[in-house]
Amino acid sequence: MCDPIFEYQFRLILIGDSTVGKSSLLRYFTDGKFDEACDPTVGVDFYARLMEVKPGVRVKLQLWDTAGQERFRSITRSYYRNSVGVMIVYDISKRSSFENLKEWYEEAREHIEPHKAIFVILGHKADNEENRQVTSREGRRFAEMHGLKFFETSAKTGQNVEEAFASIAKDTYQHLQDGHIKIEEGWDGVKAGFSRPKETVQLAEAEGESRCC
Amino acid sequence: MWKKAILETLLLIRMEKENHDIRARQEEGGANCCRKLEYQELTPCLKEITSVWEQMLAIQGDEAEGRGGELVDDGKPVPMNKLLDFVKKGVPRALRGQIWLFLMQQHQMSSTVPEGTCEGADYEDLLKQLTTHQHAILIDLGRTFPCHPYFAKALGPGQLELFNLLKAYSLLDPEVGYCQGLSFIVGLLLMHMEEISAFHVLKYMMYDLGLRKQFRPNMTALQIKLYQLTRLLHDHYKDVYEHFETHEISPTLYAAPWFLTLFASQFPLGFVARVFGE
Repeated sequence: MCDPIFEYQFRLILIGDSTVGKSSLLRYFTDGKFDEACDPTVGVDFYARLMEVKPGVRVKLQLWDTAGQERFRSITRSYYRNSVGVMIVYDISKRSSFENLKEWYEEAREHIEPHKAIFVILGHKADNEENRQVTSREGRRFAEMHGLKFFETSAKTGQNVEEAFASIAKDTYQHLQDGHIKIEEGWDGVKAGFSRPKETVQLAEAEGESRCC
Repeated sequence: MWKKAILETLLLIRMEKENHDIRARQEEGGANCCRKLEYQELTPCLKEITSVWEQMLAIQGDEAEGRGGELVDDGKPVPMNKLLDFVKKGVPRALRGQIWLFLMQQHQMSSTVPEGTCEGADYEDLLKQLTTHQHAILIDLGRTFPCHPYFAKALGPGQLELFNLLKAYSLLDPEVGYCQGLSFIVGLLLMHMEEISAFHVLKYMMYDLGLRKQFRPNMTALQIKLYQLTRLLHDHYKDVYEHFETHEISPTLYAAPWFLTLFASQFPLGFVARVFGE
């Protein structure tokens, strides 16, 4: 197996209550597919996709899916530390999942420190307008209050899915360019990818780590 | 909030009603077993092995009848190694449920597992109570074997039995309550046996075989198992271990569902050995 060319690898984690649709969202984003019935995530799962953050610059998004049930936090917690991006997901048709946002946000921040991470709030299942229990305004207000970006997404219609992931990828990239976020030894939030073979670097050899420009 | 509570209550009432209907239908004429068992055998069981199992089950059945239908509890157990031998040779799909029950009884006879870890809990009584895990169980009903015909229908007989069992267990064992993963184990049991038998087997697996430890809220037992798996890989399959290390694949990623659903997504053969394994 030979990895395609990308400049950086960003590790993102998705958190939020059980059944808000984290796995469906990731499946849609990486596979373009949507299933009504989706197995509960037992523990942690993993997806990946390449994305362009500016013309000609591609990053690999490594996406960590977590179980929402309280009990699994002892396992999922250890995945915060190595994440550079956190997507906190709630279900717009389930009030309680919105009310728990704050708790999720605090837990993630507490475990990510001292590293810096980009957070995004996602109001998911936005296609389910008839059962809506959280208005867009409430969602946006929560995000703004904490200085975060906000999207309403749907894995059924695809609404805002690309946009949400593009936003977190671009913001991370920008922070990296500005030096707010740095590649660090012993931290996997951001890693250097495989550079273009402009110097006669053979891809096959480039399988080790940090062979970046 | 209120709306949600009301909706769930309505749902419960409906389930209650469906439960009645199912009972009625079951009394009319046996449950619909063939649909339950709809899956591919890994390797079909040999005829001779099947007939040995049939014999063993028949002997047990006779003994049981001689005592007015009670389970054999002090009859002579079949030697463990002999049983194990046959389990390895294969268990026919159609008899699998009966054989699991049989193995459980055999194991309980021959080992001195302290009985009565959870005595006094009658299944029917448990069903009448309410559980705090109701919501967590409900949201997983539609996500457990959704492609299997027996569980596919929303609030069909399969899903109702699943709900009943999970609810009863969460009341029986408040410390564990309901944990994701359990629904798959219960679902698999239900494919092979009646609701009440499945409850006994579940109880046996969780308590006597110690499975409940991994579902406890802190999940330490699970973490230990995952660690043990890593060390086993290290000792026996060094290259695999190293490959995983370079790519930072921890066992939590691939093996947590294995343990928590007892390989339920990959189906029974490994599972049988497991029930019996200890």
